[in-house]
Amino acid sequence: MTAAATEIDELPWTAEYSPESQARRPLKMIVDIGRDVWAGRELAWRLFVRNLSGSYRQSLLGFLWILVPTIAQAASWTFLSDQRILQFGTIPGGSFLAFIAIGSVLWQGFFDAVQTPLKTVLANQGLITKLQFPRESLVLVSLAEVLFDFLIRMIFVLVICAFTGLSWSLGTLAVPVLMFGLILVGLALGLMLTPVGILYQDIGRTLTVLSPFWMLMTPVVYVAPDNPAYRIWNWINAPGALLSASRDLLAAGTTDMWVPALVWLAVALPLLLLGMMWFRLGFRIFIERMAN
Amino acid sequence: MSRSEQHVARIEHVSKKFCRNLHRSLRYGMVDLAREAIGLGPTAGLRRGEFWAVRDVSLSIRPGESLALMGANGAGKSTLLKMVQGLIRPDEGRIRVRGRMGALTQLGAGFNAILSGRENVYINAAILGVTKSEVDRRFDAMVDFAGLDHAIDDPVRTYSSGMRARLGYSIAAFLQPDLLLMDEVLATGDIAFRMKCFAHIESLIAQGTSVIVVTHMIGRIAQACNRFAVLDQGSIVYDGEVEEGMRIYRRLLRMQEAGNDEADDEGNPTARSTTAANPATPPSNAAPSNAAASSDAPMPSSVAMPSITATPAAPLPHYLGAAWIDEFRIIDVDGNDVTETSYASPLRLRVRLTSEERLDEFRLRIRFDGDGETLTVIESPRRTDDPLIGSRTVEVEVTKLNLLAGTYQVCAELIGGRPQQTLSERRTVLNVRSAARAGRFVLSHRWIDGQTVHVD
Repeated sequence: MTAAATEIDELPWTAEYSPESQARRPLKMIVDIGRDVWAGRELAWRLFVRNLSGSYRQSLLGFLWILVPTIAQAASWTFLSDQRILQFGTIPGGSFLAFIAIGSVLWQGFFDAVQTPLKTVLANQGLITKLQFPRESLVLVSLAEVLFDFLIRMIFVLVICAFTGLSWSLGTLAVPVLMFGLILVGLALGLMLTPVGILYQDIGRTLTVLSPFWMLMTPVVYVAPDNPAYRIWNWINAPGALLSASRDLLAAGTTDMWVPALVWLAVALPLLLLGMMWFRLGFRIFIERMAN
Repeated sequence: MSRSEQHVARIEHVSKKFCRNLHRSLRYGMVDLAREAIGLGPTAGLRRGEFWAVRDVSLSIRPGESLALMGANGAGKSTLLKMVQGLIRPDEGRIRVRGRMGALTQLGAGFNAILSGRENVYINAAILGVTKSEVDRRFDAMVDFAGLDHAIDDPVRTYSSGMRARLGYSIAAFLQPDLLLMDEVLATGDIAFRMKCFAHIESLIAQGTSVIVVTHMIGRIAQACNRFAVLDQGSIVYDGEVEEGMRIYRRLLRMQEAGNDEADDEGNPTARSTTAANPATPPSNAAPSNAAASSDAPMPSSVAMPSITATPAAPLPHYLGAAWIDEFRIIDVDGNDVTETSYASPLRLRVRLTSEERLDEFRLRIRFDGDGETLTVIESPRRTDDPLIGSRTVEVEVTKLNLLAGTYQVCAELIGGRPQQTLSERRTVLNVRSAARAGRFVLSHRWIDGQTVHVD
């Protein structure tokens, strides 16, 4: 019987579930992640379209809502600047409006990327606890949503900036890559926070509180001050480095943040992979403790 | 070894533990997360406040096998099903599955209320792993099955819960899985649609789709299965034939009820789980090997309750749904079965009905057919103040049959649900002895001119 049983089960199994930790075989895990990203692409696209067409269907302004935060940011800081309530130094590229608008779009893209994975998992709780599907599609949906909003805002801002005047150079060509890196770093961070964030709501609350604080710690609405302490901080603060470099290149054509920006860019992909591994590990832990 | 002998699922010594206390559960979650990250896996044994939801369960499913997995609430059946689905991971043991798995566990999970039914079909199908071209091919059949042709382009939030369930079922059911997992999903929706689902699932089983049905009710689906397993407090206590399994499960429920009553009397609700109140639970050390042994070739496990008194196995009811006719007899005044009668004899038609759930409006229709034609129909008044739940017997007295010689099919139909439709029917045959008259029936009549002829 034993011999026969072995023979019976010779054909490969489609799936195997065992208590063994996936971290024991990191290479297999990476292969599995790749396989599930591929398997989950159609679902991710459907979920993305679902959320997109669902979220603005009951709204008069519709997709304009994507732009509202950017406009509000740019308007309020321009107001503060015009009224001389706040003093800003020399603006790279010369246009304050362009400076603020680009900065806030980049920051929003980054912070959306940090928050979206947790939000996506929570929003799809019913689905996750009841149905089996490639979990990586949730990561893809998060990325797609962040990128979509980001691109809409970016196009809007670039159109505005076309009138205020930008000085581009060859270095400006690197901007899309840097911006993508900025979002990937945010996503990696968000994925790392998600497993704990599902178990304890403290993570989500902290993010809400942290958002304005971190933004003010990053040169989003002001020019980075030229002192060593701030410079070190801006080098290790990933959004600071990538955001400054992208904006400088976009508005003025040059930047002094090439080195940290490229370092962070190089780190972005491995960081994202780590984030996805942690997310996958955590998934099977938190799913059974999620409220259904 | 032919392909048909390959297992579609193999569950080996699987256990799963849970913790009811939220705070502790979250803390354990953090610990598990850390252990997982450093490659340790789950802790062995139980931590404080934890219990085994599933304990050392082994089962193997072959192609074409349909397994009814029975257990009272909290017996661990849903947990087991979730592990087979891959939703949660076993803490011990191993589960392997082969082929496409369909799950009828949550109908319409992931429906977006603002989007139309059509859009949701594609989304839900994608979640279940069906490609767009496949959905395109089956779309019309799905919508037709759900009976939503008129509403498929309306937003799902305008749907009733029954419509949502119908749409959800249709999407899941048209997957054509190799292994279908079902979890008491059909409890929602109207009775008529549920019966359509039952028929559909039965046809899947008949076509050889492997099925695991998890339920606490012995209903139509469980009856259609060819294998029966009983889960009690996380362990398999029986795995084998359907009829024996039903007997054991009923017995188990009775004992649990008795155990509960006892516990209530003592004012100690935990007494329920003691082995004294529940002899169905095998000693925890003896169970695994037996359950495992029975997993390869399903046969009545020796673990199963040696002390069960032999209640005669009830004849299989004529199942057509959640409400059905158990029995339809034609009897005489003394209660004896009648298969042959004369046109003038009084008769009684006795129908026993059973409904697993409350059936608010129902009526009984009895039809007499001869030579392929309906000769007459009698129908009980439709009552709305007297719901059918559980079993009851209804009798009709036919004072005089009036049918002449011949063989008649008598058909009893249970009609109910909303819209009203036939839920179950049973037939029997009645022979009427020759009487020297021409025609099919006797007209009740009386001659008026003084030469009264007695028809009786």
